Amino acid sequence: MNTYLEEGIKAQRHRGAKGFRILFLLLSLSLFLTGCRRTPLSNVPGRVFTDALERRVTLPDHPERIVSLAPATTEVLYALNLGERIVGVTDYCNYPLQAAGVTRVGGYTNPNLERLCSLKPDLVLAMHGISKSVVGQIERAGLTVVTLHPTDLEGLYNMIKDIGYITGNKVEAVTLCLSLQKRRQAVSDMVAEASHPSVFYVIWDEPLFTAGSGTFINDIIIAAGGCNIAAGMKGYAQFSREQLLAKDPDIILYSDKIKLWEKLKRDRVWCRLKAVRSGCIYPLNEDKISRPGPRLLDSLEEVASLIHPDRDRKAR
Amino acid sequence: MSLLEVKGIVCGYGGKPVLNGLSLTADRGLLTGVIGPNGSGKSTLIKAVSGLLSLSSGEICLGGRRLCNYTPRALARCLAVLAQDIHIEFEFTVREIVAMGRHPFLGRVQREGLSDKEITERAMVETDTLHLADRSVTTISGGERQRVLLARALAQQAELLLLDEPTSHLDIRHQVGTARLLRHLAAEKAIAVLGVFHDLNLAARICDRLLLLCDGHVLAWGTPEEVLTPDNIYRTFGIQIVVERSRHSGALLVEML
Amino acid sequence: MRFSYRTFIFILLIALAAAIVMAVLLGAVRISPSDILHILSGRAGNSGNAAIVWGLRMPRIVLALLVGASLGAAGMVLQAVFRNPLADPYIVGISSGASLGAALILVLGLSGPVLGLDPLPLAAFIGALGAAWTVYMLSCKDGRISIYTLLLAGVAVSALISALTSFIMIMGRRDLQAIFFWIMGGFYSANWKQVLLIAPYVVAGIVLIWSYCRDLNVMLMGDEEAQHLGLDVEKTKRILLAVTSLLTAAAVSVSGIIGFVGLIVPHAARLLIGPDHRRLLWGSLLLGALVMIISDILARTLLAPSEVPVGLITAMLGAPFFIYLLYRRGR
Repeated sequence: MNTYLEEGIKAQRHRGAKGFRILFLLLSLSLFLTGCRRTPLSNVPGRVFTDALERRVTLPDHPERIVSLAPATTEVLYALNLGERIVGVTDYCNYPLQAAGVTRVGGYTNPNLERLCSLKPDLVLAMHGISKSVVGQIERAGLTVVTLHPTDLEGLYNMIKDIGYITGNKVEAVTLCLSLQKRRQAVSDMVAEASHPSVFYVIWDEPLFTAGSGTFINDIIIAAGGCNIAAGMKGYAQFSREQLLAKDPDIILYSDKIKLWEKLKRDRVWCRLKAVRSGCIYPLNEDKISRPGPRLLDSLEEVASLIHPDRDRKAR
Repeated sequence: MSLLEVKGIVCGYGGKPVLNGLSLTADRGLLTGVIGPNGSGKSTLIKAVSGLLSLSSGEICLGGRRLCNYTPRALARCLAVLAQDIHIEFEFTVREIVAMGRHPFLGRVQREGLSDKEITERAMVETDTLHLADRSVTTISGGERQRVLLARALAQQAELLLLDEPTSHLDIRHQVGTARLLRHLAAEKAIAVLGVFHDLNLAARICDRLLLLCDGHVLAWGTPEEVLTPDNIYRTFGIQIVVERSRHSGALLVEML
Repeated sequence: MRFSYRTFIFILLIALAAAIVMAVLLGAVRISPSDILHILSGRAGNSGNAAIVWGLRMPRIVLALLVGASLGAAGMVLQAVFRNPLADPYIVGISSGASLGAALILVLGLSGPVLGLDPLPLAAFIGALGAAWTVYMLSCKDGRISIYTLLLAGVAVSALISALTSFIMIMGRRDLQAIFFWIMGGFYSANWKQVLLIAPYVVAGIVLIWSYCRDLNVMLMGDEEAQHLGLDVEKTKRILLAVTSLLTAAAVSVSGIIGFVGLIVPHAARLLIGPDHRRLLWGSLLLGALVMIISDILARTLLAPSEVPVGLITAMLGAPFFIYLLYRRGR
């Protein structure tokens, strides 16, 4: 055997193996660089959940890195003591205070995908309102995203239980729901057989916008034993000032974002309203009353005590 | 003292002087013509005398007062300008246009009085535009428009009338008519008329005095006979002419060779 | 196609009266005509319906009248100053300046009274005048205002301010909707205070314009010709630009940006009664008021109980008419 030939063949094999190693290195490097473009961890058949957009999502067993794309889900997660697992929130997540320290990923309809990916979450929670294309984009990036859509107080309990299920915290979720339901019942008892004063909620004053049926605000007013004069309208609707004068509600509630009381006080026309004359016009924290989170019950209790102050005292 | 005295004025556009130390006078009852080649400063002279241009040096006096001391309103009462042509997009009637000549005499909220209406009417009669009185100014011909503008200038009843080629668009009949009218105004109404003419024959025929401009200077100043010499014309226009008296009218005739 | 002046004014007055009657009768709350008569004659006392009619409908109608008349008059004057029948009161940057002022107030969330006045219209007013002044300063050279430069400066300043406003709107985010509604224009918050706020400006402005009507005729002859006819052209331009800016700013501060009225109304009136401003002013005032009231009625009733912004209605009515005018001009 020709040693040179042997050497040559050996060298060729060596070079080949080296080439293979280089190729392998390059491949894994590219996989590393494309980061998010890897297949989801849960390739293993696991729990499946049908979300609000009718998507069947395979859930990770125990999500440790959760991004919340809605202030409501952020509040629920914290209420379920899952604060340490949250790695990303939106710019609007302002409650609880601990959320301030978490990385921001943008708005809830248009989150910053780059930042989202860089956090490497294993679960992304979103709310109704996010566009399907954005959900699709997050999915394509290889992340697990679940959308939720509670439409009333019952839906709120379901959402809390769903989040409990998804995050593997069923017990806390059920406990939370039970306590919320108890509070709801307490309010119902309080306002039972009481009068139903007419109530109007002002979201914005110029032009006049209010909450009609199908909104949490409406549900809270009704659950608190009031009668929403805008219940005939659907969703967030424009209300005519003439109708407001004609219907003359007993109580006016308004978003604390607008300084309604000062404006109404100075206007002769609005001073005709009995709510203004009797001073039954109260500001409410808009986040608390419109976000489907545990604080809805805080709002419910607050509104109930505003609508039925005498009952409230009696209860105490 | 002359009604209009221009003393050594230097003015132009954007720093470049067009008129270089020009002087002239215009007297009541006299029709003074300004002739010269294109670019010699004829229109600039009209603009300067009508107060639109500021002078680098020299002064212009109207009725003994410096031009710059007149407010636009006061000036418009003494001085009427007939521009070459104006483009009006809006559909005013001829009567309304001529009536604008009374503007310098009316107070802010004063309405036109009977005398104003009479003056307007008479101005239209004199310029043969009365039959156009209720027509829109956008529908009349160029020549008719020129007569309308002359009527407006007449309605101003000014002492000095400045004309920039008053007969350029007119047919022969109206040229003659306008020429007669100008002479009549100068003679009967003791108005001073200062006009720019391109037509040397017309200028020779109707003007009492002629001013020959060349490159912003006055080359010759005097009666038509004195100014319209073959020599002068050659020096300014570069063409050969022959001047003789008409056998029929006695007017000066300029013939190009 | 010219109507007799008297006939035209008569028709306009009748139409305006009819429109006002309709505006009083129509609203989100049904009040019978007999009740309304009762209320208007002062016999209904202080009932709920009386409050609706006197407190909400009447100030709205009066405000629409004032704003419509202002925009009509301002448009007429600017079309004369620019010697262009397609000029518009917002041409000198007023609409963008007002929007900026309003956007700032809405984003900063100021609602308390400033010097006893509501901050929103005040800011819009100041913004409008500020923009107009900037445009004027840019186009004033050696004391002379070049109309051509004025037009270009108006476009440039408007673009810059609009960009700023958009930026503020994006930063504001939550208040985006409120700003948007303001810009689209409407009378949904009309009250007597607003009427009292702008009435002095509107009346004074219109009286001043009336006294300058003959001057406006003369200005159409051209700057030089106007000077020859005794008009101090630069001084007149300055005064007229200032008055129209004031009128338009007052209108915009209480009603937002309502477009096309200032453009179409004087133009249409001119087509019908001719260019003499002494007559055209009345035509523009009445027609402007009429168009505004009709637009407001449509805004209130088309999608009741929701209100369509009046600016949208005037655009929907005005744009096709504008296209028709362009078409006619082209022929």
